[in-house]
Amino acid sequence: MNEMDLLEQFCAAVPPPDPARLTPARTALLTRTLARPRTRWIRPRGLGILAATAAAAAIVLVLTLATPFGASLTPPASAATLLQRAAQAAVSQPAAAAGQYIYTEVTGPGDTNASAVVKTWQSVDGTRPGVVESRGTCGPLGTAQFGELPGQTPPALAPNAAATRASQVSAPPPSDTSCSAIIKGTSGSPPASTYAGLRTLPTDPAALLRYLDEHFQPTAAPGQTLSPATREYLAISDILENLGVLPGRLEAAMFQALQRLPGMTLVPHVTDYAGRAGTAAAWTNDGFEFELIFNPATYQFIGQQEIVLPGNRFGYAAGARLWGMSLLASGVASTVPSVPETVQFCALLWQDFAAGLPAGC
Amino acid sequence: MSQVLHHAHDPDPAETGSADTDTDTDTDTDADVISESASAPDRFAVIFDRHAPAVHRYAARRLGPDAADDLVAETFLTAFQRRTVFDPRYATARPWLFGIATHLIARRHRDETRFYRAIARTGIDPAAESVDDQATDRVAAQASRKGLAAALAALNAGERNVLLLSASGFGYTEIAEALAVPVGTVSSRLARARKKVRTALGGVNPIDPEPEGDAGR
Repeated sequence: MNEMDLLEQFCAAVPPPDPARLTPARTALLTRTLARPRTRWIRPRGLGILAATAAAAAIVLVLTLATPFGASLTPPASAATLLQRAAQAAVSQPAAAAGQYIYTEVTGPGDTNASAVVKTWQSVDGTRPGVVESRGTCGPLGTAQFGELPGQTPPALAPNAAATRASQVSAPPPSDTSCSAIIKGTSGSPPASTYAGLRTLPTDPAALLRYLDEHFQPTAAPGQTLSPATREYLAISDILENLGVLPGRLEAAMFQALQRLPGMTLVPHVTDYAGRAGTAAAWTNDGFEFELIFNPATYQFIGQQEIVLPGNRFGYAAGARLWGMSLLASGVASTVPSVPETVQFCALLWQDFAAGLPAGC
Repeated sequence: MSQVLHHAHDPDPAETGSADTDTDTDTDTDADVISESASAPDRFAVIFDRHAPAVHRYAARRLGPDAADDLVAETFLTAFQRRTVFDPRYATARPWLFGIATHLIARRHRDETRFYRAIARTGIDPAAESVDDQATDRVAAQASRKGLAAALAALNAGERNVLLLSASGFGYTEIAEALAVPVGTVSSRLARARKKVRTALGGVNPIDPEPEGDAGR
């Protein structure tokens, strides 16, 4: 008996798994298959082994969203009022300049059983490498997701990871997995992939809707059509999810555009993924309610979530949160943190595929 | 993020728990199914049902059964996300899936090393059938298992990848396909890994030659 025989025995000694062991993985996959396809142009980017620059992260937080919320606030009377106030709050946002970085700190579902906190520094004009640091997700659902090859469906920020089916009142704690990576410069990407690019979008609400109609192409399933209003909602939701900090006038135009959609509803009191109180403007489609959540005091955008409505034809429990993301902080930074070389590797999974040899991470 | 796009044949999520349902009654190849899943994402469940048990066994061998649960989930979510880049010239997705699993495992190579060291220390293999099944050969089996686990613990991730894929029944071409490396690389890496294991075993536990059907099993 040689060493290969022994190894084969060693492998063969493992019994097939009890089917019950595979159930959570299968459920996670199926939940993921139900997820909405991403738009093609929002944020394509790839990772590369670029030299880490900047010794320290000097983030200038111009906007912190984790403010304590008052309990006795009276919600606006309608979704239109809420969105109008949100537009007013957005328009006064400070601007970011070329050479700077958009900083966001977001929490949402990470790997299958934990929530993740992802911090990103994205080059305003896409000409410089950015950085992503994530805690709670290190795998393909998180940091490595940024490593999608150009031309593929653009990745979402980590919170787009598989939603769990469980009805979650509060988010699970992040796991202790963590990773960092360099985000390669995104110059040459479509306009919506950078802050600077977004400044070229129309800021008149009607013109913005026309632009989205023209450029936003969600793939529908065979035999299914998405109403124009649903597509417009999805476009705006995606941009908000992916960039975190938008040019103020554009963000205002987006909320004004949503005011024009027939069927936006007000959800006066919601709890977001991070457990914060908020007021939401909601879009309903096929048994799911998509909520854009705002700080009830300042009307700043603080996150999104997707809630199952009663009688959902897919059998989800009414009230379950299928997905959520909470913007914990955002702002403009002038430098990015340095990423140790040892952990850069972690996020380079798909480059490993090309190179063929992951030496361990 | 959202559930906007659905299909008439969506499986009811409430029933998705049973891994071996009637989802795989069709005779489509993996390539067909994956291609269809581009527009009908839920079709990808067929790929899961066909291959998840094997991927789980492979992952359990390298990381232990508990870590394998997570790894299977990660593998299929990754595969699903990358389904549009699956090369349809390959009828079966098995090497592709094992390649993804292997890369994910390699990123946990410290866990893998610890797992092998624990086996080397105790002789107990949490991934294998109960040791009581092997009571008659227990001492010998534990001895050879200890030696093998110690040898595996000393290999690097690249060597383990080729060695354990090979021991799991993959040929050179399939391993090359799974790891996206040239066949020559597989061959040389496997030879190097085998030599290391052979040397290590020689120093720990002289297993061969041995009488047939006897100790050492």
